[in-house]
Amino acid sequence: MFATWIASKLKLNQKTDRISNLPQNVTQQILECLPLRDAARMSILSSHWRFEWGSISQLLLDHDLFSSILKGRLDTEDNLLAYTNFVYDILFSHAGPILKFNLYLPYWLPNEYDISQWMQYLSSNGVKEFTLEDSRSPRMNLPTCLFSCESLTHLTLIDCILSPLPATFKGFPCFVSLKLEKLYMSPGNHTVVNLFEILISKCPQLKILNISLAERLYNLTICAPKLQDLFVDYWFGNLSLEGTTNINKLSLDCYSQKYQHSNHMSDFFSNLCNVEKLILGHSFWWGVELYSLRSPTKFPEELERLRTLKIVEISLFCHSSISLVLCLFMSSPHLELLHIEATNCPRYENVHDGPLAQIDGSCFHRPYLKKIQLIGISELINGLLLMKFLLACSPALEEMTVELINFIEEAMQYRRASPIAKINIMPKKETDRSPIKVFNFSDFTSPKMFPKFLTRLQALELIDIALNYDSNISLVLCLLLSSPNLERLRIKAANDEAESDGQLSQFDDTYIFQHLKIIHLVGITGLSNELKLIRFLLACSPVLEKITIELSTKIGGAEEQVNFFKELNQYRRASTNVEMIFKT
Amino acid sequence: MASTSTSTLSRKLILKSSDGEKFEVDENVAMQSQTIKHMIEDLDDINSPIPVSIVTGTILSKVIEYCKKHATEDSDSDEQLKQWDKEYANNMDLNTLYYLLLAANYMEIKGLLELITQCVADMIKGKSPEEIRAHFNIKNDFTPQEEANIRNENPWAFEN
Repeated sequence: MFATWIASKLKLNQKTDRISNLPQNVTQQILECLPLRDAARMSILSSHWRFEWGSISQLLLDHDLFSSILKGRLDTEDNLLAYTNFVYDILFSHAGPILKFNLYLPYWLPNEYDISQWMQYLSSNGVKEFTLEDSRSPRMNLPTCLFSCESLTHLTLIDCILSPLPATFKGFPCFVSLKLEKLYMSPGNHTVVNLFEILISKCPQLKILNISLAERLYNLTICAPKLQDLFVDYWFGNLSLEGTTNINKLSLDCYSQKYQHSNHMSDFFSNLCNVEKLILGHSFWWGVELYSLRSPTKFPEELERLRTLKIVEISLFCHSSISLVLCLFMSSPHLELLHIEATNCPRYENVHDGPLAQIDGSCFHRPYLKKIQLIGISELINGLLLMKFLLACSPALEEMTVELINFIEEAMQYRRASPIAKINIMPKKETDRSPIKVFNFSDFTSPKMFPKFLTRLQALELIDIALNYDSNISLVLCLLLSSPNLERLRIKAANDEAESDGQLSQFDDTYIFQHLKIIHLVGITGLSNELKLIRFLLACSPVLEKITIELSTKIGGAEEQVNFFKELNQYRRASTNVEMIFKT
Repeated sequence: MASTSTSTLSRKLILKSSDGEKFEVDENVAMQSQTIKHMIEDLDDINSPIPVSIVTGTILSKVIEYCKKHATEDSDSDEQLKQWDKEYANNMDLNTLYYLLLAANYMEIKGLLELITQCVADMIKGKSPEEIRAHFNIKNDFTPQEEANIRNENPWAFEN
C-alpha cells in the first residue's frame, strides 16, 4: 500500500513542470544565458512564458544571430530591410531596462539615421554595457550619438574607426572598461593620437583598457590615474604611461621603437611600481631583439609588487631578450610565479647571438619565488643556463615545470637552492595533440642510471607519454633508477594506437625504492609495456602505500578489463600494506 | 593576525535542513551563502543550528559539497575548478537541478546559481519548442490560433 503511494508520488513528481515555477529573477537569469533566438522561442511554450523573454536585461544582436536570421536571403535590399526591422522590433517590443547591448553592423551599410535612432533609444534607456562590431564597407565613422550615452560603464568597439569626437562630448563619467579591438584611424588624420588621449582623459573612472590597433600609431601617452588593467597590442613609435601609476595588471604585446635605447626601457619599467602581474608577448620581444642590451642590471626603481611575470614567445637565441628577462628578475624582489615560453627559431637571421658564457645568479636570491614554468626549452645552451640560474637562486621554489623539446640529462643535476622543489618534466606538446613519441633517443633502449643520482627528487610527474615506445619506457626507468628518494610517481600515458606494442624484455626487479609511497597511473590501456612497468614497480617498492590505476577509455570490453585485473593480481608485491585502486 | 585567522577558519556552524537533518560545516564554507552570512551576523549563539528552512537535507548536502569545493583555496587551477563544476552539474537529474536552483537562489550563492542556470540554458539551447516542453514537462495551454499568432509576432525566432 505504502509502496504504491510512494510509486504514485514519484510518478507525479516526474510529471511536474520543472522550470515554470521558478522565481522571476532565476527565470530571467536562465533566459540571459541563452542566445537571443532561443530566448525568444520560449514565448511559445505556454502562457507563463509568453512575455518572459521581453524583459531580459541583455540583448546580444551579434554576428551569429544575424547570420541565422538572414540565412537564405541573398538580395542586399531585402537583407537591409529585414535587418533594420528586426532591430526596431526587438528594441521597441522590449520592456524594462537594457543593461547590456551588442550590435553588429553588417557590411551593406545600414542607414545612419536608423543607427542613430537605436543609439538614442539605448541611451535614454540607461544602457551600461555596449559592444559595437562594425563591418560596414567602406569604413564609416562611429555614430556620434554613441558619445552621448553618459550611462555607459563598458564599451567594446570591434573593427571601428576612431573619428573626431563631437564638440559636445563631455566624457563618459561612469566608464570603467574600454576595449578597442582592431581600431582604425580616420584616414589622413594626424591628430588621431590626441583624439585617443582626449577620449581617455575624459573617462576619469577608467579601470580596464584594452587597445589593439589595426594600424601604426606614433606616440601614445596614456594618462589614466585609476587604470588597473592595461593591454596594448601593435606598433608604436613611443608608448608612455606617465601619470598611469596604479596599474596592477599590464600586458604588452606591442613593439615600441623607443625601447631600443636602454634608458627608455628602464624608465618605462621603473614607472610600474604597482604592477602585480606583467605579461610580455610576442611583439614586445620582437622589438627587444633589435635592441642591444648586454649587461643585465637592476632598474633604478624596483617592481616592488610584481608577483607574476609571464613571458611569451621569447627567442632564447637573442642575448638582449635574455638580458631583459634578467633585468626584470633582478628588479622584482617579490616575484612568486615565473612563466617563460620560448620559441625555437630566431625571428631574424642576424639575431642569433649564440650561446651565453654564463649567467651568474649567486647574488640574486628570490625568496618568494614558488613556481616556475619553462615551456619549449631545447638543448640550446641558453635555455639550460637560464634553468640552472633559476634553480640556483630560488630557495623557496616548490614546483618547476619544464617542457622539454629533447630530454636533457644534465638538467636534472643542477644545484637547487630550494630543498622542497618538485620538478615536473613534460615532453613538448605537439599542436595536433598527438603524444610525443620519443625524446629523440633512437637508441635509448637499455635503461641505466644517470651518472649522478637525483638525490632530492621526491615527486616525479610524466605527462602525455606514449608507453608503447620502448625508448620512452627506458627513459622512465632511467629516471626511476636515478631517483633513490622518490616518494610520489604519477604517469599519464597517452598511447599511440597506430603503433605496435613494445618489445622490451622483463625488467630486473632486484632494485629497491626505499621511499616510494604513492603511485598514480592514468590512461593505462593494458599494453605489455605497461604491465611490465607495473610489475616492476610493485616488486620493487616495499613501502608502497597506494597505487591507483586509471584505465583509458580505449581499453576494450569488460572481458579485456577482467583479464587485465587477473594479470595484475598475480604480480608479487614487495609491500604488505599496499592499497590498489582501479578506476575506469 | 595569524591566530585570529586560524580561529575563524576552524569555527564550525550547524546548518539544519527543512526536514531536520543537521550538517556541521566550517564557517568559511557556509559563508559562501550571503543569506547565511547575514543570519550569522544577527545570531547571538553561534552554536545553535541555523535553519535553512526551504532546503531539504538531500539538496543541502549537495549545496555544501559545492561550497566546500569553492571555499578551499588549494592548488586547483581555474580550469580544474571549471571541470569540477561541469561534472558536478552534469551528475544531477532535472528534479535535483530544480531544487538546487531554488536553494542557490534562496541561500544567495551566486556561483552556484550561475552554474545551474547555465546548465539549464544548455538543455534548452537548440531544442524545438515541443522538445523543450517534453523535457521540462511544460503544459501547452495555447490554442493553435494563439500559437500561430505568437509565431507571427517574432517570425525570425521560429524560422529555420
